[in-house]
Amino acid sequence: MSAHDAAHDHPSIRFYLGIGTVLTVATFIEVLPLFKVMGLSFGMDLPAWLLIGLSAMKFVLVVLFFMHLQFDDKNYRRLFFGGLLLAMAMTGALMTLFGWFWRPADGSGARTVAEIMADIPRTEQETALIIMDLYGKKPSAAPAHGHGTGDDGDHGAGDGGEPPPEPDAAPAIDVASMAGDQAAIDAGAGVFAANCVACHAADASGGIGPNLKDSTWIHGGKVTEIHHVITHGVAGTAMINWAPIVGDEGAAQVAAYVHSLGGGQ
Amino acid sequence: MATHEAAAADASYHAHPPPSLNVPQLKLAFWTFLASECMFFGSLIASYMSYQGKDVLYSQPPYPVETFDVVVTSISTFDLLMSSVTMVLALAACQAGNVQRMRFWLGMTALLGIIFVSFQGYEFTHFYLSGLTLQGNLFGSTFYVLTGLHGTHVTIGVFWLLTLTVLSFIPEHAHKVNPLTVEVAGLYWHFVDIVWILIFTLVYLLEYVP
Repeated sequence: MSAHDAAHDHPSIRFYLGIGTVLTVATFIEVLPLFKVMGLSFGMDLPAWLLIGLSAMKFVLVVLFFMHLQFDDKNYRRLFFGGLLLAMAMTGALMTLFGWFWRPADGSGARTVAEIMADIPRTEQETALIIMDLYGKKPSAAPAHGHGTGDDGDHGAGDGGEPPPEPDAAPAIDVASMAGDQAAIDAGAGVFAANCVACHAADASGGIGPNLKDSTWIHGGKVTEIHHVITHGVAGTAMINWAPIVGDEGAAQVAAYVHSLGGGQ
Repeated sequence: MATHEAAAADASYHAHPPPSLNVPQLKLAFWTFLASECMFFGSLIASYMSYQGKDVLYSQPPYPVETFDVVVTSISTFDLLMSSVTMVLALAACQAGNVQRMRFWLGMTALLGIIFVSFQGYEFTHFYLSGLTLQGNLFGSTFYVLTGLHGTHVTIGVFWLLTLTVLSFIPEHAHKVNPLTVEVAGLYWHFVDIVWILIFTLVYLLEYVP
């Protein structure tokens, strides 16, 4: 009677070693894919369900026999598996919320970030990198987009040889006078197509950024107000200060172009 | 009279509370703690899984497979698994009243734990030098926080086991090292092991499924 109780309460050392052997064999099977990575002949790929199954089996073996839940008071079992079930439910819920199980409706497999990026047209990809810089670090050295079109007569002051002014200094370009200047508008359309369409769409009807064709102006519809948004950005949005990228002249030309789209006039 | 009896019963209750649910309170409390630990690690594993492959804004290397040194991790996984075996052997020796053998297996378990933490230290150093940092990308932050907090648990367990071993040598404290306290330390140790069983599969092995 007491011998039976003792055996019941405390499994023998042989029993423990037996469980340890099962755990070892299960682990050896689990790492078979790694042996393949190492180039060993007995290595092989294993499906995810088998790996998860082996892992769950090891988990249950340790809990039931090493932690004695199989032999111990049932209240411990309720307590632990209750918490475990809650944790599993929460894990599943969070993974669902974050779209871990998401697959495209056409049945193709989930794509990697690199594949998604490869599908994005180049200008938008560049824009995405700029947005990343916004959230991460300082914008990296901005590519200088030299737009040589319509240089003549666009400089209000006409000081062609001067270095570009400080970003915060008053613009040397008379933006207000460029409203309606067809040469500036045409040049601005080119700058817009190269830099702005990713968020504002090719026809400026909006997307990530607002519609620029309608009569609604969030930050004012005057050409100087549009220019201010382009050269200062809008805090908290993907709209950054574009002057370092398109240049002071390009920013003024885009302002003229956006102003000419008609919405604000 | 009745009031007197009730008062006596009350005093007795506070001096010797009846065991909750007719089981030792220490063990019951500890299983409750382990249930909450399930939520603790569950949330960290959920975060790791949820952010897996979702690194759009910080889509930059290093990525898991090119970072992992799975041979090293497999060895440390096996090391931790075997420490669970030595832990049950320590408990069995304690229950059998064999203090010498209990000390040996407790020491072995702590040693295997130290080896595991050392492997993790090597792994973290290796990963850091290959460019994986805590705040560099989502893989780095979710990986280091999950495995780092697990390693912290192992470290705490090592101190716990060493403390039990040392106490068993001190005559006035030796009674604190009894089947109940060794079993509770073992429960903690096994729990840390089963968490690693899950992490090893979910974080490492599943990366190699074609």
